Order: sequence, then C-alpha cells, then structure tokens
Amino acid sequence: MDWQLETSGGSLIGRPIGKIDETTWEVFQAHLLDAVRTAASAGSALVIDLAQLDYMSSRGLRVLKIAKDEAGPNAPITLAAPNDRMRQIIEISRYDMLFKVVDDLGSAV
Amino acid sequence: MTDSRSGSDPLAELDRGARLRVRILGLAAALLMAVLLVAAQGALRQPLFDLFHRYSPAPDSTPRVQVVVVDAASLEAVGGWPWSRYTMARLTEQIAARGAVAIGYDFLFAEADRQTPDDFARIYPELSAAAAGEVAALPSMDAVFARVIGRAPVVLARAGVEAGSYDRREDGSAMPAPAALPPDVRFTGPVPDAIPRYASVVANLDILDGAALGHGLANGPPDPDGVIRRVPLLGRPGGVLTPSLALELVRVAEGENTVRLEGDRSGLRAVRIGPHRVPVDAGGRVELRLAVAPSDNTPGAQKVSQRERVPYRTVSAVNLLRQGGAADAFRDSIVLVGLTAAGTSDVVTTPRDTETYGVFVQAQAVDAILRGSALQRPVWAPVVEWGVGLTLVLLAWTGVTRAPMALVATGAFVEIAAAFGGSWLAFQNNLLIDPYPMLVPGAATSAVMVSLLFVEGRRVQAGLRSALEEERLIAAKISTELAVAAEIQSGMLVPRGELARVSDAVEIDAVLEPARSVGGDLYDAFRFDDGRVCFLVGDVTGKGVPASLFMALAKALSRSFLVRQNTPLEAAVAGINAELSRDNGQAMAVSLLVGVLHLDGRLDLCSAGHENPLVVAPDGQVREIRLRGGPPLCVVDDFPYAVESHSLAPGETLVAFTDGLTEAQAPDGTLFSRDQALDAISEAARAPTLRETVDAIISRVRAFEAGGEPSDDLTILALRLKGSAGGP
Repeated sequence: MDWQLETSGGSLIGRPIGKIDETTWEVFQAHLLDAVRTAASAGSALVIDLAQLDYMSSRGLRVLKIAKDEAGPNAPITLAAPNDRMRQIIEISRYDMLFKVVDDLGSAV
Repeated sequence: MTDSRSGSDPLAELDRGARLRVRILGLAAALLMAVLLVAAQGALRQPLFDLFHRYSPAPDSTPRVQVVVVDAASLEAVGGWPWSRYTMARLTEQIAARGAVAIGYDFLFAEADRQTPDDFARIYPELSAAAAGEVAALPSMDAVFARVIGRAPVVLARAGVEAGSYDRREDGSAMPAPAALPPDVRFTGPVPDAIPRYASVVANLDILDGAALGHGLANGPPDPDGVIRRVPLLGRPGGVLTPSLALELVRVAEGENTVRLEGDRSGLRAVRIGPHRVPVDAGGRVELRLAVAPSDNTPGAQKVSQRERVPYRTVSAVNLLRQGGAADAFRDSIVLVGLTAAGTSDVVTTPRDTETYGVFVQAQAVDAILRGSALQRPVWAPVVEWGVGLTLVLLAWTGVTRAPMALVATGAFVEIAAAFGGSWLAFQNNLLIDPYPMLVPGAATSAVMVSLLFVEGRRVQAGLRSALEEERLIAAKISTELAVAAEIQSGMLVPRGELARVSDAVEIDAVLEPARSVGGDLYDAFRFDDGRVCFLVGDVTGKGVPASLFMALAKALSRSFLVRQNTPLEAAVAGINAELSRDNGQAMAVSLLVGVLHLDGRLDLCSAGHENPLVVAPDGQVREIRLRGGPPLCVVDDFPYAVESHSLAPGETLVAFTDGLTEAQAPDGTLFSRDQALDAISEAARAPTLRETVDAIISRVRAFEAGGEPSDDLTILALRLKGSAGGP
C-alpha cells in the first residue's frame, strides 16, 4: 500500500493506493492518524480518496473508525470516490452509516 | 554459515568471548614457543647446522697444515706405543728437517722414558760395576729428546684437569704447580669468566717442557651430545690464562709473542694473533666450519686409507722415520703429530664424521685460526631472528583466520623455504642464523588459531543446532496447542450432525472451515421453546489466535443474550454489542447476522455490518435480502440495531455466509465475484439435501482457489422449512 497526502481547496486529502489488509493495515493506521492530527492542527477537513484503493479488509475498516474517534465529532472524515469494490465493502460493513461517502473527490472538497 | 573462500572472516562470526579466546591463545602459543626455544638454548638449531656441516662443508682448507700420523703401519714397523723418546727425537728431527715452522704433539710426555740407562743397569745385576757405571752415566733418551726439541719449533701439549678428575692425582706428586709453567705468550685484552677454568694441569716432563718453544692446552671437550663442534682457544688451568695447542702452534709459526683478546668482561668476540683474527664465542671457543679433502693428492703424501675425507696432507710417521718424502715437504707448514692407530683413545665425533681422530680436529682448529674462517653467531642474529618471528606472529595473528587455506599453505611454504634457505646461505658465509625463532612462534599462533577456530566454529554450530531443535520443539508445541485450540473452537460450534436435530420443522446445516488452524468465524443455531429457530453467522476482525479468542467470546455472549426468549432481538444484539465493546483492548470488531425463523415463514433479521443473506427459490433464482443493518459490533458502542422483517417461503433456502465466500481468491489473485457466488449457490441448491448444497458451495469455492491457501475463514449456513425440499 502507498499513501499520498495533499491539500486541495482547504481540505487535507489522504490517498491510500493498493490494498489494505492484514499486512498493510498498520502502515495505513500510522499514515491516517498522522493525517488526522495534521488536519486537526490546520483546522481543515479530512477527505480519504478511495479511488485508487483496491481492497480494504475489516482491519482497515477498524482503522477508519479509530481515525474517526481520534478526529472527534467536529472534524468529520469524508470517504470519497470509492470504486465498485470499495463501495461494496463500505455498504456491507454499513460504514456508510458512520462516514459521509461521496462519489467524487470534487464534491468532497 | 558464510563460505570461508569468499574472504570473509570466520572469526567475526564468533561471539566476543570466543573471539577473545582465539586471539589470546594464539598469542599465548607464540609466547610459549618463544620461551621453549630460549630454554632449549639452540637444541633445535644444532641438528640443522650439523646437517649443513654434512652437506655444505668449507669449500677449501689451508695447505699450511699437515698431519703426521702414528698409524697402524707405524706401530707395526716401530713397535707398540708409547715409543721410546729416541724414536720421538728422530721423528721430530725428520719433521723439522723438512721445513716445518711449528711442530705440535697432540699427546703428552708426562712420564719418563721407559728405557732409562739407570733402569737398564738395575735390570741387569750381572753387569760389572764398571759396566753398570758406564751405562748409568749414559744420557737418558728424555735428555736426547729434549735437546732435539730445543732445536726444533716444537709446541708441547698439556691438559687442563677438572677438579675430581681421574687424571688428578691425590698426592699431586707429578703435578707441576701452575705457576711453574708460565705460558710463553703475552695476552692483552679482557679475560672474561666464561673462559674455562681447570683445577690444575697435566704437563710433560720438566726437561721436555723446559726445552719446548711453546705450550698449549690440548683440551677439547665435546658438546653434551658427545660431538665436537667447537675447540677452545684458551683455558685457565690453576687460574693461569693459557693458549690452546692450535693457538700456540700458530703463534710459534708466525713468530708472534702477543695474543690479543677482543670483547669485554662478559665475553670474548674474537682472538687476534699477528695478522689472523678468528671469531670466538664468549668463552673463547672457535666453532669449526669443517672442511673436506681437496680432490688432488699431493705426491709423496700418503693418505691414511680410512681418512680419505681429511682435508690435510697426512704423512705416516714410519715414512718419515725411514726418511721418506721430499726434503721440503713441510716447508712453512704447521705439523701436527697424532695417534691414528686403531685402539687409541683419541677418537672423537664431529658433525661430519661419527669417528675421527683428535689430531684432525686440532688441524681444523689451526686452519680456522690461519684463515679466520670460524662459524659465528653475529650479534645481530637474535634481533633479526626474533624480529622476523614477531612479524610472522603478527601476520598470522591478524591474517590466518581470514585468509583462504591455499594462501595460508603457500605463505607457510614460502616462509619455511625463505627461513631455511636464508639460514643455509648464511652458513655458506660462516654465519649461524637460526630459522626456528622466525618460524616456530608464528606457526604455533597459526596452528592454535586455526584449530581453535575450528573448535569454536563447531561449538557455534552445535549451539545453532540446539537452538533450531528448540525452535522446532516450540513450533511443534505451538502447533499442537493450536490444534487443541482449533478442536476446542470447533467444539464450541454446534456439530453438523446436531444442527439437523435442532428443529423438527426447520432443516439447518452449516460448515466453518478456518483459513488457519484457528479462525475468527462463528455460527450458531438453536430452537426456542415455541419452535422458532434462531441462527447467526459472524466474522471477527483479523485472523489467528486473537480473532479466535474474540470469536469464542462473541459466540458465548451471543448465545447467552439470544437464548432469552422474552428479550427482543434488537435488544439482544444491543446487549451483545455493549458487552463485547467493554474492555475491548485489542480494538476488535465482529460482523454478525442474526435471524429468527418463525414456523410460519416469518423471518426476523438483524445485521451488524455483515453480508446480506441470499435466498434461493425452488426454481434456482437467487435473491438477496437487503438489510439496512448497522456497523459491525464494537464499532459504535450504542448503535441502535433494528430488526428487519422478511419471510422465507416453503421451498426457499436461506444462505448466510462470511467473506470467505465473496473474497475467495484464485492463485492469480482474482476474487470470487458476486456473480460467481450467486451462480454457485443457485447451482448448489439443486442438490437433493441441504447438506449437499452446503458442500457443493464449498467445493465451488475450493475449486476456484485451485489448491491455493484460503485467504479467510469460510462459513456457510443454510436453512429452510422442512417439508419443502428444494431442487428440481
């Protein structure tokens, strides 16, 4: 898994690329929690661009939830541009109930 | 293990203690060898030098030294030894007449001639008094000999006697006081204590000694091994510094009065007489470089048959007594006279000859003085020897462990060849260079370090082997424990056979196949008293032991909440969520699908982040029961999970599963697609029994994985109302 971080339109965009599974979730967690703190200190919203993420296991989903708890209720995390597979994973796990999911990055920032 | 040929240092692979041991013992070996070499005092090098003597004799010898031998032929012709002084006088005259510049006798004339006129007169009492008086008045042959000695350049031998020697007489009657025999030579220079002392001296008859031109000690004790390698040039009988026979002969021949000693109080370095300077050891001994016979035989000089190897012209005494040989045969020569007849006591051993006669050794000593060609240990020898030795020790110490064996062997060969070759070359130049201090300490260091390296290496290997064994044991133990855990885990699930007996009205079957020995999937099914059937399928985050432990907890909690007949399903799920979320240190989560099937086909479902179940119609059509549900348990502590009501018609089969089905992977990484899953379930539902349906679904998944390791636990739970068998 690779991780990119950029700022666009006042939002911090984290972009995991590849797969988040048993072997990569810890790296993902480190990057994501880092991004949460960066966003918090900058006072900007955090968007996770899922466009290039092929797969996320339940471990990855746990990381999303931990990040959400870390960010707190006043710093919502938006999941943007999931592909079909990621959309399915989000739907099955009902994470769409926990996160705002948008179809494209443009509408998130 | 790294390959030692790659040039790595096997020493570096040892632990610190072992490395230190190898290094310290390597140096200790060198030190021990050095101490032993010093203690041996050259015992090691002597055989080598003896070998050099044998194969590398002095290339030439002086023609100024000649030897007159009293050999077997002489004794046969003249009579038994000792000869009368008359014969000795004649022999001396013959030698002197042939031009000798110095004549040395390598034996003593300590007792009077046996044929004195007095004795003769006493033996024959029948002689008239007049005749006896005349006979007694004749001069003794000792007097005759003394007169001849007085006219010739004769040097007589004497012998220093050690205290306690058999030669020393208790009464001292025939022992001249040392002071009575003052040396004829003047010495200058230091007189170190190392010059051998003798308690007293055995000398010749006063009448002979008084006539002789010179006197020298003929002592030449061999080395402790009985071999004569060195001849003393000086001795101190009774404390009086005295030259050796050889030195005195040269002095007389050269007409010198003074012998100059070079060195200091601790030891001599050289003895100088006239133009000759001969290197000596501290005690004044000259180490002979033994010569061999020249190839040409001088006419008139008869070789003693046994002495073909003697490098000096040798003449039989009887030849001279018969007045044979050229008139100038001994011109300018130093002539030594000695016994070489069989049975004489003057047989000695040299590095070149196991048996030779003392007179030839004296001849070699005279030769050494004349030519200044003695062997010597130069003062710089120990410095060079130990310096090279230390260098090689350090080279071995730092390099032998990392150098390839071939290089070590080649290096050792070159070192040995260079040291011994150098020693041999030095010998050619009369220098004694010991190769052993150069080689032995370094060799000891190499041998000890290489051996220890091997031993320590073996120790390390043994350690690694036992560690590997240990790990295998642990792995086996863990594997056994995991197997036990897997058994316990599967024991927590309702066995397949019992599922069929859960309800008379509902047919249920389920299979859970963990991806590892223990898994995080779970299922359960039981019947309420009113006949309703409760079932659940769940999946814990992650895999392995932590997931399996959380699964056990989730399974037990679920049953305990769900089994309460009067508790609404949503309340039960909320209770399970609350309990599981408590003390969830590992931040685990579990997706759960819980259902209650009423006997009339009503189906209450509650999903906590789980895959929606599928329903297969009797015609094979598969539909998904879409549930709103909520996130997995433990994600949101107080999530208001809701019950969603659906129905299961007779003949319809409900299939619930975990992501082991939808995320099954082919070896090329492609996932079991949703369409494939639907197709597999549709086809499997045609099987005559529910059990076969479940098995068929699993078979399809395993076939898709094509023998690859399953990526996740796989659970399939299916149920349908009885009396409504599916399939065409």
